[in-house]
Amino acid sequence: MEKVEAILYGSRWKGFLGFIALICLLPFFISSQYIFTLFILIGIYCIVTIGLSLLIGYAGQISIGHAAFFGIGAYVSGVLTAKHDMSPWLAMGIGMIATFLIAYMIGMQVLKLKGHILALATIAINIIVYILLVGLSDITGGASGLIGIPNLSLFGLELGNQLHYYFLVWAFVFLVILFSTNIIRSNVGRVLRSIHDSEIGTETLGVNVTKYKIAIFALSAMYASLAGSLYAHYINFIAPPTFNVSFSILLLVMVMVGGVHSIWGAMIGTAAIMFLNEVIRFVGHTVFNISGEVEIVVYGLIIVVVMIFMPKGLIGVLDIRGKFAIKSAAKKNVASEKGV
Amino acid sequence: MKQMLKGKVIALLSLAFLLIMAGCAEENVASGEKGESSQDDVIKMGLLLAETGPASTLGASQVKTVKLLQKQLDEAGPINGKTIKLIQYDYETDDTKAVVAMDKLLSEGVVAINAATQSSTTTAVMPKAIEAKIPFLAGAPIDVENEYVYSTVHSPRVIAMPIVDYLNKQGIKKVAWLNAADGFGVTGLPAFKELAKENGIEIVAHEEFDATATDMTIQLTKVRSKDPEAIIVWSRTPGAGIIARNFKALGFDIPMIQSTAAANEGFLEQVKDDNENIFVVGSKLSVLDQLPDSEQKELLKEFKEAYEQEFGEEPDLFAAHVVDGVYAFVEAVKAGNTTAEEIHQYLANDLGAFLGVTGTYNFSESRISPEPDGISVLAIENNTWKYIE
Repeated sequence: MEKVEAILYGSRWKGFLGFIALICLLPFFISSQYIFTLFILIGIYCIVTIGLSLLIGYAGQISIGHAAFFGIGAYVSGVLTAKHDMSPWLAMGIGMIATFLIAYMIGMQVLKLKGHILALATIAINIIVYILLVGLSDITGGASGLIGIPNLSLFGLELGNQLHYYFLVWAFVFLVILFSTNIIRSNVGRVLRSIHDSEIGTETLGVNVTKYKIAIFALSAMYASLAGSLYAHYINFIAPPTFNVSFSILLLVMVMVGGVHSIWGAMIGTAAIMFLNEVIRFVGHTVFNISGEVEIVVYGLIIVVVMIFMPKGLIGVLDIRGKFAIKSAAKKNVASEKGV
Repeated sequence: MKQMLKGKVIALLSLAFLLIMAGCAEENVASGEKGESSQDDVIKMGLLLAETGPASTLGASQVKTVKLLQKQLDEAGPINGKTIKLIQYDYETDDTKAVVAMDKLLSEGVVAINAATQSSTTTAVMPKAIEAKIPFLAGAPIDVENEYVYSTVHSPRVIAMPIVDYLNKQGIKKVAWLNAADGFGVTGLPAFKELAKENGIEIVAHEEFDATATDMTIQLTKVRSKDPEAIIVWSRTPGAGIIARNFKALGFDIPMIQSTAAANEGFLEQVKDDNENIFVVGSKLSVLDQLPDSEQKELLKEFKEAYEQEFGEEPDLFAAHVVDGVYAFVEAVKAGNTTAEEIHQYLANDLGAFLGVTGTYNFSESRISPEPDGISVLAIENNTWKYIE
């Protein structure tokens, strides 16, 4: 059985080992507070984009509203810890469960929609949540933001320290990857992919398609909530504009650029966009002496180029295993499932 | 063929990645080395300003001011053998980007921070300065008091003072209050309520509008039914200008008084040619020629003329905040302080009363706000500001 799995999906431990090695080695090469913040943010965003990859790449649904779930997580954590002195870990758990339930209920209605209409509906969710965050100012602090969110600590270890937080965030990323690859490699993952290819076809096989779609939507929302909580405890301050639609779009760009059909792709995309953002700003300011949101123009260009020349995203180009694929046509089909 | 192409792309991508990593590493080394040598000759101050994004209507003049001040500092030459370098980053009206940029500043070894254009961003980045024990010159009104935080801007209470004075002079007792639902907008009412109570002024209506809304007719119509004698608006531009236009379109014949956040060229442009009865709490900087002679006038004039010569336009109150933050820092350096702790001690204890472009500061007495001597309720006449006694 295990052998079949290896043929179907390839070994995942190589990827994991490389990942762990990279995460453990990086702190030896970086000392700058700035680069650490970037890596922590990349880790936090990766958690969201992995969820989006499951939703978009595997289940074939779309969401331009995940900033809302990110925001719900951040605000549940923030409000419960800053105003009610609750344990951050408990608050984080409550946030995730609450977000899962909210997303489940929203998903029941919204996921009946398809394609562009679904995209619009998820934007609407994002806008509604944004307005609630601004409007419920007695609870959320409203437009002036929520201050006084404490740092995390674990068994007496203060996690306000950047290095500690770096490892914490990436440990969470690791757990999320592990959990997600387990889903992908299970029968659920296969059902999701068949929904992606043909919803009607899957339904005719007697599968309750709606159930799977909603579950994966709620799961990806829960990931976003976890990421939101981590964000809130890292920045120690949250305000509604962070959770606006533009952030949802940025997340989508990250997933698309990296490669929507692989969670590793989502992560590569996240890192690529984050670094690109900083590089564009740096180069734009110092070399060309232009200021402003140049990266928006560049983002657009990148998406067009990626969509035309690399429809599978960066991961499609980087996938070395694809290069050594055995040439027989039958096995090539199997190989295309690799990279998960 | 396809595989060859793939190989090339991989090679290119990994090359790019290596370059990026090398760039980062180099930056580390550079900042490390500079950190050591800076004790000898370069002292850095970090600034975070909204050069782009929605808050850029306020941040644009601040960024120009930084360029002007750097030029002046360069021309003046080293102070006690130290060169002052102002490092400014654009945070694009985005709190997360501001936090990243803040870390970048701290990595580069700045000894003082002046940030940011908006209240929420200021609150977001401030904890990092406090943690690093670096003096933080807050560039927008905030609610937090801390040993390391010095405000270069007027507190809402101080901004409301000239308004209440004006209302008293005009004998107005019933006002309506409108504010934007954003970080700046919501700070005004609590402060004004207190002052109004002390002066027997009644707030007969209160409405909020979205900071990015494009029409506030509904809120104004609601307010009208309460029959106020004046309308007070607490909002940044462009919202501030839109509500002023709606106000004119609805044909109100009572005064509308706006906060300092409307005291900029963008607002004047928005209400061009139809601005009777619109008042703004603005900097005396804008009405310099109409002021009686004083030491303050000389100081304002010097800055204004330099700014106009450089950029061909007038500076506003937001530019003034940056000037004062930087000047306070320069004063500290002139007094022979070079480390963050020394500068902090100097600002807190030794600087004393300090006449700035925004107003008179005295950090030993109040960290929250300068005095209201730099601002006044201004009218608009011939599309420019007019000083009223």
